[in-house]
Amino acid sequence: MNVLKINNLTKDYGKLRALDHLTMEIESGNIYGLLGPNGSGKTTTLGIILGILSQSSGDFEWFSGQYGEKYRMKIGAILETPNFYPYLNAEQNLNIVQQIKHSYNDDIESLLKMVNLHHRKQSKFRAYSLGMKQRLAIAATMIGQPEVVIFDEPTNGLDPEGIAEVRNILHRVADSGKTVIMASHLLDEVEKICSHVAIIKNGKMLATGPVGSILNNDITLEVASENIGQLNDLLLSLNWIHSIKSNNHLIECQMTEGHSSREINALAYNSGIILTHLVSRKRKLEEEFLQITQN
Amino acid sequence: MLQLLKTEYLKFKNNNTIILLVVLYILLMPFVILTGKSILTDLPPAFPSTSVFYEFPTVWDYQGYAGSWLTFFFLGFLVLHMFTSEVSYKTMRQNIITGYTKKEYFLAKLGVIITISILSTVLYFISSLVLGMFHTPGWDWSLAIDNNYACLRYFLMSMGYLTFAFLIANLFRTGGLSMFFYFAYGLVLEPIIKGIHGYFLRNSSMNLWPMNLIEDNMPFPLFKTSNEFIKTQSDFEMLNATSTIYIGSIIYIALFIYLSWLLFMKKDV
Repeated sequence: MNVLKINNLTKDYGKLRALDHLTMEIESGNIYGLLGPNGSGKTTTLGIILGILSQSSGDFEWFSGQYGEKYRMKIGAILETPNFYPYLNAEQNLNIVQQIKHSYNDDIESLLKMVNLHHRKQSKFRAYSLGMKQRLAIAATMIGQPEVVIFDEPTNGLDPEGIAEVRNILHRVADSGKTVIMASHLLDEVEKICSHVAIIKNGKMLATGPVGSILNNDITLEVASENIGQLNDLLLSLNWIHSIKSNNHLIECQMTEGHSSREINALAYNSGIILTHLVSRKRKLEEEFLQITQN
Repeated sequence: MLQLLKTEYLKFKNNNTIILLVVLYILLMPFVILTGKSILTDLPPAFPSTSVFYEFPTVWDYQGYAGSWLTFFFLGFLVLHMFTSEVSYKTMRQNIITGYTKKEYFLAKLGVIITISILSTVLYFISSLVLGMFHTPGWDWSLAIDNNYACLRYFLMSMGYLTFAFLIANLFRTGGLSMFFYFAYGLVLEPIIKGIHGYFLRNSSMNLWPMNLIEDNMPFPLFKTSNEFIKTQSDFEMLNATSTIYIGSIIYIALFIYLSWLLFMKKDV
């Protein structure tokens, strides 16, 4: 089922075009990663589909229009920063979310346990660390059994421990079967959690689809030898090796599908080059992302 | 609407600024004119004694005048704070993201303004009544409620100031600028504009400026007694006519709400 349809969405800030005819569809139950460099239009897109920014042209439709303008009642979302009443504690802040969502049967206790804030539920929001604020925001998105949850950079500004905690929570949310839209820089995370990705730059959609279809099947190869110049020449002579990047110690290159690191090892040995390092791995989303956004 | 008001109550019941403003308003309301007893020992010849402050029916005028200043300062500040703090905490934006429509958010704030105006009018009624009962020798109900429509005028005064504060808050959105403009306009800017108006066009139209007209609901009580005298000096009255005050107040309140609505719906949250 279609949860969200975005059709030719365009947003101009004066002369600056922040979104340029963005079109995409979000299917129910999928986990979408919205990727893009800073300023690419991710937050603008989320702001428009959440109804707090007005688009210059184009349109979007939630839930095939079945909830009308009250569609946000079925969405749990945080945008940019966690926004709560600083003088209220965690429980009181979540109570206000309940009031707005007309949802009074949420298990606040277990929500606070899930985000590991239960022991601090009586502390005022202003006394929270950034990580705790982010976790409270994630708890708030769960109120009212939303069909869709939207996270905008949920790990921004957190320390490694905070990132790990939020990552664990996100995994749990993703496993719960909800539709998730997540804007993030943490491509490792997106790769692990998301089923689909959309890559945006300068307000334009560069690539979209299931994670598997974005990642091409080339293999990344890292090789090193004491005789690095000769090794480099050998690699350059092979037509199934491309994108060779070398420094003084290490060569990184891409190997097309169907070849293996074994072949490289044998060829090098036969040419009198002794390899000191040989690693092959699948291409990561990060490499794909950098290649797509740099072209 | 009750649901919206309940949510607003939950938002602000633990806000120290709001609590302080409400407590001060409630405490000062009955006591501010009582301070006249100890401060005003030498009275101008127009007053036989300070008892005119506290006796029926004039207690309604003096208490109303004191209350109008308290309303302008404390409740005006409260409305500005209530709106602009939610902008700076970004909770207004989050409320919308969470599920409010912009219309509901606007109605919630307007609902609070109307509720505060009703409650402050009730407080005005009770405090004036109690003051009068204790200070008027041989009072009776007919004398107590002799000053007609005082509560209606108090409500209009309150709605006038608070919807004006709401408009200013919608216009500037930041706390500091809004507060500066609200107080600067009410206390300095409009009197200057009124003065310039009077310089070029010296007739009663100069009394139609919004803060002046709204203040006329609960005017400085001496204006009532000195009106006849002032009339001989400037061939028009210091105060607007009663019907002008009622109609003008309602027009201004409606205008402030309408302009607030336009601004609120036009701006991104």
